[in-house]
Amino acid sequence: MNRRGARGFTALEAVLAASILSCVGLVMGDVFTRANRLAEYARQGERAVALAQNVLEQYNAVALRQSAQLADLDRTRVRPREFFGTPDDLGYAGLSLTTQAKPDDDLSLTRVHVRVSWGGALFGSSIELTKFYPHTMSGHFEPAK
Amino acid sequence: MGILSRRNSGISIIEVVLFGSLAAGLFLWIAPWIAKPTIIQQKLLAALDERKALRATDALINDLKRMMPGSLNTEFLPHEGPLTFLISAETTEMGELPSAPSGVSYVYQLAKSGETGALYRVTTTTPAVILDGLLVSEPTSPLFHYDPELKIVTIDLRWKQPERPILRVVRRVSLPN
Repeated sequence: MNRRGARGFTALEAVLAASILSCVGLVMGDVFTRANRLAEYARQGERAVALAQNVLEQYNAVALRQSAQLADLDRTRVRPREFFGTPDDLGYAGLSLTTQAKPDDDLSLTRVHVRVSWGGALFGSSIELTKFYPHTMSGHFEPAK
Repeated sequence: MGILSRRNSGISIIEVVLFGSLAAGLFLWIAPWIAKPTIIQQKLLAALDERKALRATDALINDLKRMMPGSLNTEFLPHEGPLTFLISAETTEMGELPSAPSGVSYVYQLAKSGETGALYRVTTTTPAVILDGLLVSEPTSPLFHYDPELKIVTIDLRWKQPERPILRVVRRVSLPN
């Protein structure tokens, strides 16, 4: 044992130790990355739901007043400031909005679909909210049969 | 003998530079991973704060949804409040007649420190704190804002907590006709 201690470690032992350390490091790194992504999803998800509800309130206002057609509010990947016409993003910076009002003539309803997304194309996430409005509220008129 | 002579000569400048570079490189690689748990904790705390602020404003949103049409004076709505209106009463029993609408007020009151204040929900009973630690409302960043075109009330809260960044929570409610 003394002789072995004086001799030091063999190359095989060093490689084995390095491999074990690398594996532990990789697992730890993966755990941290996943935890970070989940924490980000939790934070942005809360904000995204609140933003989507604000967007649906805008649709409610238009539907109640019939000041325009719901489809006039359709936007694709815009910032909150562009949707609401405000000077800033109302505290929802980093989130983007896609909205679509689609008539469903079979049900005499208009389906409003709101998607809020964040992050890049690779690690991005999104949430979606859908609400239905009667045609009479949506500014959409059924075609004559 | 060779080792002994090396020990006597000490560590060369090249060895110091080499070791220093390796140590610095290793530190730079490891540092973000060491900071990761703190970053994750901050994000989770931010998510909890976000949820807490949103849930706190739910009472105000629900009251505005139940508001009796025309009971809120939108002609004169100060940016710092109070927001006073009537809400329709809820009935819990089938066939029971609803009671008369009741008044509700949302009042912002500045704390003694003068920097932040609290938003209260005031009814006939004891005032209830909605959220404490809210920054003072300014005309440029109003607590309450009314859009006469769309008839939307915007509630804009800036929540300041010790050792946390200021959290902004904006809720919008379309008023009934």
